[in-house]
Amino acid sequence: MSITRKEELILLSVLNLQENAYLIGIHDHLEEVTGKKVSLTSVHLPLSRLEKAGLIESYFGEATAVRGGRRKKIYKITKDGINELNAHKKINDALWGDYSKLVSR
Amino acid sequence: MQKKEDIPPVVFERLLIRFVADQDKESLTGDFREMFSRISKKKGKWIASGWYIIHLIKLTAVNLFQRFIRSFYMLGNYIKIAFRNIVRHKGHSFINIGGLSIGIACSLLLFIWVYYEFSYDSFHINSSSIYRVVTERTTSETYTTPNTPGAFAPSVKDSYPEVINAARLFFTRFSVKYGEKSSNIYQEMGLFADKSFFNIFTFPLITGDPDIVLTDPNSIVISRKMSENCFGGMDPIGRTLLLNNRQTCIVTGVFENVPDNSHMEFSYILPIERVRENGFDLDDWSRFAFKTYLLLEQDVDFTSFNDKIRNIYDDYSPSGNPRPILQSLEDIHLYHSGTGLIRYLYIFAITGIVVLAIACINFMNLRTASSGKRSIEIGLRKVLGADRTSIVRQFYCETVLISFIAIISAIVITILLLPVFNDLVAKELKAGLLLNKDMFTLIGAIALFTGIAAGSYPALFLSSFQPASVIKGVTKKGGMRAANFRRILVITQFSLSVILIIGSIVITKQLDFINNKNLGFDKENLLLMRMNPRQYESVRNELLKNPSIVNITKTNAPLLWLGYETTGITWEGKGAEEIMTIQLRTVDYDYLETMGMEMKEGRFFQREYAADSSQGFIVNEAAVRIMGIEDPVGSTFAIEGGKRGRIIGVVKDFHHHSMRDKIEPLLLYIHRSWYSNMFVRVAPGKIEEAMALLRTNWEWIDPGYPFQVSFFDERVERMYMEERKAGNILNVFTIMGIFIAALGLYGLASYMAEQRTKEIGIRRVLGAKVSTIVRDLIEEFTKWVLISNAIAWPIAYITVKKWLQNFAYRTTVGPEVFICAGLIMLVTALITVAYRTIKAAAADPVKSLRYE
Repeated sequence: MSITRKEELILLSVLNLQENAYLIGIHDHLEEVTGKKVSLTSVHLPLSRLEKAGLIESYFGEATAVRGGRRKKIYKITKDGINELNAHKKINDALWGDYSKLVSR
Repeated sequence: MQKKEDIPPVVFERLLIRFVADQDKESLTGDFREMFSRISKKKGKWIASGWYIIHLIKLTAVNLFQRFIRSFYMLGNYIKIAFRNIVRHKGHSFINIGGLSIGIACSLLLFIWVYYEFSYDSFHINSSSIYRVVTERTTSETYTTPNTPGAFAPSVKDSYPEVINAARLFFTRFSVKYGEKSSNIYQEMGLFADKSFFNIFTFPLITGDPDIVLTDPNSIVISRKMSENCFGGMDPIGRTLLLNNRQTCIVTGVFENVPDNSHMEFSYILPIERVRENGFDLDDWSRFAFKTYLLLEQDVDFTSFNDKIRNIYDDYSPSGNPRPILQSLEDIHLYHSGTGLIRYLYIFAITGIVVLAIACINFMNLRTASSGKRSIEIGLRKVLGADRTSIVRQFYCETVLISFIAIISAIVITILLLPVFNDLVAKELKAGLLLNKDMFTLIGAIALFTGIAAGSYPALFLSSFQPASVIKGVTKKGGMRAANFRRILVITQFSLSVILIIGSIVITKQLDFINNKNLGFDKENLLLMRMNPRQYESVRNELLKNPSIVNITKTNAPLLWLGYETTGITWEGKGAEEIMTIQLRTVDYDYLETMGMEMKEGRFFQREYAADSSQGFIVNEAAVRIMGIEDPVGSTFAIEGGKRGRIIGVVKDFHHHSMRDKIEPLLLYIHRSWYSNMFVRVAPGKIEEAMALLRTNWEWIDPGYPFQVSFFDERVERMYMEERKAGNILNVFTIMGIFIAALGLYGLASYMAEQRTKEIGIRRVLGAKVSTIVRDLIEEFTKWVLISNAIAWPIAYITVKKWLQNFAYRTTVGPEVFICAGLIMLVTALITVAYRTIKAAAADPVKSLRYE
């Protein structure tokens, strides 16, 4: 399966956030990193797609009062997910490799 | 603990739970609540609620869409089955799809045309803020003319900031001469216009700068077509044209040909200043001679602006109490010539809808009827595990598929029929009109609506069967309900057809009435032409020597034409408040006899009475009625600031303009020089000879102009073109409607006969006569026709009565019209049904019993 840029960002967020990788956590992280408004649904949909593809898996976390006693669904990257990211990184590195050298000239 | 404001409304959460996939229910509601409380704290509960709703919709829309797509996993199978069914019942499918596509094609043709008429003048970029100013006057009745005085446009432009731009237009028909040869003359419509013309209207210039092309008083801007006609491929800029043999103009620009759907037609534009050479004053408030167009600011409410300028003419006190009225550019074409096109367009739009409805009903009917055959298939599907929704879906898929097939063939039919239809409506409609957003939406909507409407009954009804009883064929109760449903549909269809028939009978009748009504003069063997008044007398004497010409007279204006009118008249016993608008016609001594008119009282102008030419007036009966004079002959009469004298006679009312309107007051008098037209009365059967004579003398009759003579009966005919066109179209589409209805009836009858094959067989074996069985089958259809007539008559009666109100002189609508329409429907229905039923009844009973 090939993933989109957005999905790539979300996969990386899931990896970075660890325990905090639930919907709103990822959403906030993306907003912070990109500096742009991000819609909650536009995070939810890629997440379910990634989960269905087996690149991430989920488990239930704690329940807080602010959530009305409902548990968080926390995502964790799978082996396949790591492989996918590796493949992407390879492509990215190949393309970005000489970037700073070329630009600074 | 959480504050109350931080908790989203319970309804929202319920909705969320309802629409979200199971595994996400808990976490998502939690996530949403967390986000909600965060937004609520920052921006308040309302914004948070808004956020919740928007994201709820976003989330569920995607979800529902996915579900919808997933639900069509059987789509391939449905389509396969649908095609198998179409192929298996070829005849039935043909009637089914054919009827529907013909119906849709008919309505598409009508819709294209109506759409085209409504598109008039919409090509101007500013079309919604351009207005034409017309003048409304109230005398005995209120009426409007499209003319305004020359000073009006500059005055409103200067005094009102709402007006961005204003232009005066003056239409004309000049002969245009180019090059040296005298044969290079042709007559074209053109106009004089203010410089602002190109800034108000969107007539793109091919060459020339719109801001300056009309600046030089000697300039002329011509159309692309005219440029090609006059100069071929050469560059027209800077070349000269001679107008009316005296005005020289230099071409400064070329504009793209005026589109067909423009209410103005012209081939060249001249600067407005040049109308002075034709005797018009541009700064004058009293002579209403110019068309005025205004471009208003986008956000100006034109009715309130209209109120502001309502009294603009009061300072100049012209007669007849004129008021300016703004008319939106896009309305001009639809409401032109007083009565307007619009009422016909409505008739046609409605006809289109009715024909479409008949076709759809047909389709629904046949689908419902034949769906009974599918009950075993449905039973099996259910046994094999299909749930109800999947069967509903299957039927919808199938009917929508069939209706899309029908739509596609309808579009093909439409394109093929367009040339024929163009002849019928005298338009140049192009198939390209189908290719726009509105039409696509319309076509898609028709297909979807027909599919869903036709599929609903079988889909919802058949899917509710118990599989066991369906397979056993126990569908009695449902069969009854289906039959009732069909009955209602057929009756609706017949009623619509009867209404169409009555409508076209009445329109045809009204047309005949108008054509055969006594006009008050003899329109046969009458020729009309323009002429040069200077040589009139000698021309007349010369022509009268020829036996083919009976009489000749001159006048200022053709008949069937409203133009020269005044309110500036006084008559004996006229009250201070009394006002009458009267049409002015200059005539000579031979007018009455040449035209074949009659006097009511008094006498016509006679050469023996010298005073007739200077002091005599003749009015028509309508004028006498309004003036209220007991004994008009001999009473004094005067044109203000003009001649005064006595009324010497009253001419019997004749139609001097359209028969749609009442006959207006008319004044006939002899004038020194105001003549421009000549009527020639030809001996019956000598038209050819007379035409040849006129042609040889043409150089003398109207020097400098091409030969142009019009037959007066043709002119009368042309006047009612719109009605004639409407009549033809309505007749054609009524026949189509009936044909489609008959097609459906045939299908239905054959289905019913098929269903009763066994019954008929048994009855035959037991000794029933063929005629008895046929009567039995036909009886039901007859009953339907009678019921639908009862429904249609009152509706049709009210509708036609209302339509006829548009005419001042109208035909009567007696019971024979309705009975006739009813009979047509009955006969059509019987013929259609009889063939099929006789075949069924006469079939070999042995075969019938073996059936199934």
